[in-house]
Amino acid sequence: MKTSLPKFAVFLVASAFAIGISSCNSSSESEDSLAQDTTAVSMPDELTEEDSVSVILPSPLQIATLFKKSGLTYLDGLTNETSKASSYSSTNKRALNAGVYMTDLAYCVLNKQTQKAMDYVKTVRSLGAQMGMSSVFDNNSFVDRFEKNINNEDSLAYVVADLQMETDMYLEQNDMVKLSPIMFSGAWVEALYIGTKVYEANKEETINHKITEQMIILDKVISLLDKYSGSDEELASYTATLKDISAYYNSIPAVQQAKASEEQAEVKLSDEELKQLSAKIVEARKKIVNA
Amino acid sequence: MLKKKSILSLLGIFSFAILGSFGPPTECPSKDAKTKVKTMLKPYKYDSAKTTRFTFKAKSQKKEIEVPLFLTEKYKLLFTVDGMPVRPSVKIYNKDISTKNRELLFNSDDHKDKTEFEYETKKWTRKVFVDIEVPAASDSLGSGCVFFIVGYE
Repeated sequence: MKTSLPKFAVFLVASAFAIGISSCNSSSESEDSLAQDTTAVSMPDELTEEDSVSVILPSPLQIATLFKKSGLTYLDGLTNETSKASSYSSTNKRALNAGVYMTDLAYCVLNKQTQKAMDYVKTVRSLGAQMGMSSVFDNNSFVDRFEKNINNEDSLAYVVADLQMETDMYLEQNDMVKLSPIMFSGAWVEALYIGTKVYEANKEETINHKITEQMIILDKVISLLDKYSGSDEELASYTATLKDISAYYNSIPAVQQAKASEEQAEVKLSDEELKQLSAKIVEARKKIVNA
Repeated sequence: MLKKKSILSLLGIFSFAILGSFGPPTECPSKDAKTKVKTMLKPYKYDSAKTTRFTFKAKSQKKEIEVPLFLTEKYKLLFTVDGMPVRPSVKIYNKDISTKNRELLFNSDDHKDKTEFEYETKKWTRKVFVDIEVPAASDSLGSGCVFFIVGYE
């Protein structure tokens, strides 16, 4: 019995080496296999798991850029006040408003409102820190980079794009993906809010098209929020508001015609239809930005 | 007694090493692989990204990711399969898997010598579908991931 432990130990140590060596071999085999021909390997014709379909969402900066390209001008007083940030106490509210502020940041950057943009960077950092995401800012020196490029709109746009990328990657790496569609929906509502308000002011037809183009994303956002709502009543109630927007939009005859034809044609809404859509967006935004 | 203690310590160290070698990777794909595709994205601006994870099984697997696009924009999709010990097949289609006669827009099998590859969309595309197919492999390989990033012009 006295000798059994050393023998067992020798066996385990030997096994460990064997497994270690085999593991090293398998990794070198793996590298080789990357270059192997896979055309002969049979691949499935159908998706292999129930949860095998997913969707990725665009960035708030891209949505703001699209609106800007279509003639969206800067109107003072549309964006959410930075002073409200400290009143958002739940994680959902913080995530929603982080999205709102990301759109406000992009709107200010694209319209050369540099001081306001700087305020929004600081507000997004503050909300991010409250959600445990300080390292996104601290490890990438975003505030410094922003200050250094404050007079260069193009460079600032790249900084904002990088901020979005680091945020997305942080959420994915830290099992916080639930927050992604919540943040995005806040950003989306804010973009539509600004878009409809500017359209009401200048009736620029291309903005009308951009608003309807954005509506295509809404159903994707709703399905992602539904997936994560579960017993979260606050999130479910908010998602219901988005469903109301979707239901109204999908009831518009021009939208139904476009869907039936499966054409890539742009949909144009009448002023009355846009007014009603805008009212629903204002209602959704109130739910987000009011503490 | 001392010998027994030393053996137990040795066992502990090796057990830790063995378990460590089979544990999930801390970051997949590696930071270097991500940095490489991020660099390759320029001059396009970042729009979105997706990491799709696979646990190897005795049967092949397929996952589909819908990428919504805006009509007037041009996009670049950049992939890295650096995090996959077995090479997957990445295919891009104009319609989802339930649609018959969908058009194949890109096939990574045409770029077998690369671990990073890219696809540029044409304007007036509303969405594309990325299908990732992983062949059957030994479950001893553990897991891996395909990472892709979307940029707009």
